[in-house]
Amino acid sequence: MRGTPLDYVIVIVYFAGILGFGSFFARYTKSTKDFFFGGQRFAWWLIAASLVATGIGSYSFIKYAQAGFVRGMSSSMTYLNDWLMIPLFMFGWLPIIYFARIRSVPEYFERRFDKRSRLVATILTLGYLIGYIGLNYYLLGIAMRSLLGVPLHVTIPIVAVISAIYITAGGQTAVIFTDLVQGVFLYAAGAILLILGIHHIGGFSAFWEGLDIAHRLPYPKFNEPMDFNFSAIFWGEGVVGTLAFTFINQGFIMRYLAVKSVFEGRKTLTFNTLILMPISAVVVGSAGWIAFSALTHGKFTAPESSKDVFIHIVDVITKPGIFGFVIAALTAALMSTIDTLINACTAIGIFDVYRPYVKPGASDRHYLKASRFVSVTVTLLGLALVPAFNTSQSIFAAHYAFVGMITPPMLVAIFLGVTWKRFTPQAAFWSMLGGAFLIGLSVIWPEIIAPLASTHGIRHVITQIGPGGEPIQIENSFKYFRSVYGLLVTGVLGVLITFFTRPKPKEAIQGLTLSTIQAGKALFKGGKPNEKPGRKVSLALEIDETDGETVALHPDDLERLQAEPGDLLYIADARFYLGGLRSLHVKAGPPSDRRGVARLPHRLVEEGNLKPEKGVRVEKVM
Amino acid sequence: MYWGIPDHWFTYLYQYGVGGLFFLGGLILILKTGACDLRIKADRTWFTALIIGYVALATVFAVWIYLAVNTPTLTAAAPELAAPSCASRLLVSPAAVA
Repeated sequence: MRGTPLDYVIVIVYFAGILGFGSFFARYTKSTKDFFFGGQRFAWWLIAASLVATGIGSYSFIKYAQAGFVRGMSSSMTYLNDWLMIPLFMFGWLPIIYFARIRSVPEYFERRFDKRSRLVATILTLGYLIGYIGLNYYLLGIAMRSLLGVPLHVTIPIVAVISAIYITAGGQTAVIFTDLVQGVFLYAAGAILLILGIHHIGGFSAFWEGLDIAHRLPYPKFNEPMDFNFSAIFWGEGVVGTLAFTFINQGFIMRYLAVKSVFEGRKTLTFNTLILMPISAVVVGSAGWIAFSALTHGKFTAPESSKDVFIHIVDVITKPGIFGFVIAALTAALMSTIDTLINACTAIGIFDVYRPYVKPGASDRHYLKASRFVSVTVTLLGLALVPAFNTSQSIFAAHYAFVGMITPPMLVAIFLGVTWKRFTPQAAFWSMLGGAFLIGLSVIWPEIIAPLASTHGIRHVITQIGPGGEPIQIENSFKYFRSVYGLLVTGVLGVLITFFTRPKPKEAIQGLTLSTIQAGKALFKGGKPNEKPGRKVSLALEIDETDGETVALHPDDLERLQAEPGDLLYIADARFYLGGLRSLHVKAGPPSDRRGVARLPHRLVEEGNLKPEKGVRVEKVM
Repeated sequence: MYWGIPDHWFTYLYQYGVGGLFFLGGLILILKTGACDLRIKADRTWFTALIIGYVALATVFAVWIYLAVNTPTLTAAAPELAAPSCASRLLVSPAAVA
């Protein structure tokens, strides 16, 4: 085993801390809305910070360090090109799912299309998510075996038990708060490695001079090499990958549904895409850049395999204690990805399988219990897949091919469903199946994609010179362009079928398309939205012993909020650092005569976990 | 070189040109459908933020590429000649590079 006792102490303390911290939030989980969406009450900064850790997997450090070493700073390209696709999420998908109270991606398929489309989407998404949970556990085991020499069957169950306990107890609230801590941990570990690495090389100037121009540039070459070139990454990751991540990633969507309002969600999105993702790109890739620069300066010896570059550079630049910190950060990266996946998978298990097919019409209390059971089941299913990933490389390939086959068809169905009112349920269903089939064909015969890829100068077969000087022909699998091909063929199918089939009535898709978002907003509020910009006000909180459903405010306070009776308000504990942990949404009721005071029924004070002695901040949502 | 433009600037122009078309398409779509209503102050704010974000990213990347190409490096290879991967680079001993 590698590392010193101090390193192991740090890791154990970290595990215990996360377990205790995550489990603490069980007290805030009283309903399925709390369990899956954290009560839909959190501040933008809390969600943005928690997304940092979710977006970085444990293997990201190893993978991106290798890419950074071999390719340079262009390894960060996949993290930095999301903004171009953001308008449709910010003004389209986000308000649609929020205002329509969509709880899962498959649920959108039923409401926008029909039941059978939902069933297809449910099966595909569950298959992808459970496989991904198993894959993440396996990759963590591999990372830990490389770094510490600890076998897979020791590390994986420990991490699985810890994450399962706090997710099952605290649900989304626990996920958000632990991911916040884990994100801080990840950034701290990344910053420490960066500072130590630059110091090791001799300062920032020396680091920068040690990189050749190709390693400094933000983008790789336009169409070579075959497996890492600009055009493939632009289309495969920047266009299709970003749309897939924002439109059909259940974990990502649930995190955005946990914010207190769409306005707040837009803040999260902006801060995350423009500020945090670039920082994350540096955090995961910098070890590779440092290794390359150190190599130039003669301060690092290249490992035999570039896969080991992260471990080697960590060995060179860290000291006892810091190594343990890095290990804890890697585990943090895994746990924060896994917890999101488990919670997302559980949501689909409950909303799309258990509730409609196993036990319809039960109480929310029953579904909360069932959610905890499903959460444990999902963890066990993910664990059960680890041996398969461990024994057969073809499982990797199968999972990758499966994800590649299902992503473009589901994406096209949602995209056309959102942007085109005429898009029909028949078209959604058959284009999903037909698209997946045509993508499957391209896995068997990649040459189908060659005409599309050749528009960017990417060839199907490339001849390289082997070690003995003999020519070797390498076949391009079109890893990235397959998704573009999938998008095109599914899109064409969808459009063609739409012209021959009947669309859903307009009134049945209110709030589910771009052009009906304003109607969706009114449905969400239950009345005409009030868009007048108001201010946030700090008020004292008084308990009203009646059993009403509204908050009573003085007309002067309503004036400052620019709110009227019937408007939807958000009331939160005055302590901003709680990020909305103690808060609730409530409608404004008839005005009261108490200036500077919010009078709230006892039941709602309890529901929002509010403390009268701390005061509240009130803002108008709409 | 593509159309006389060095590879590193060509990729940049592609990213913010073709990518810019996607971005612009998204903006037009949300405006045309009424998903973004510029009469509402909040929508105006976020619409402006989208455009500022695009310009900011394009600027940062332009500066990044300029600095990458125009600041001294211990390895003097021109970007068009630089190894696409460091597989070949590793064959050169650090001392020879320095």
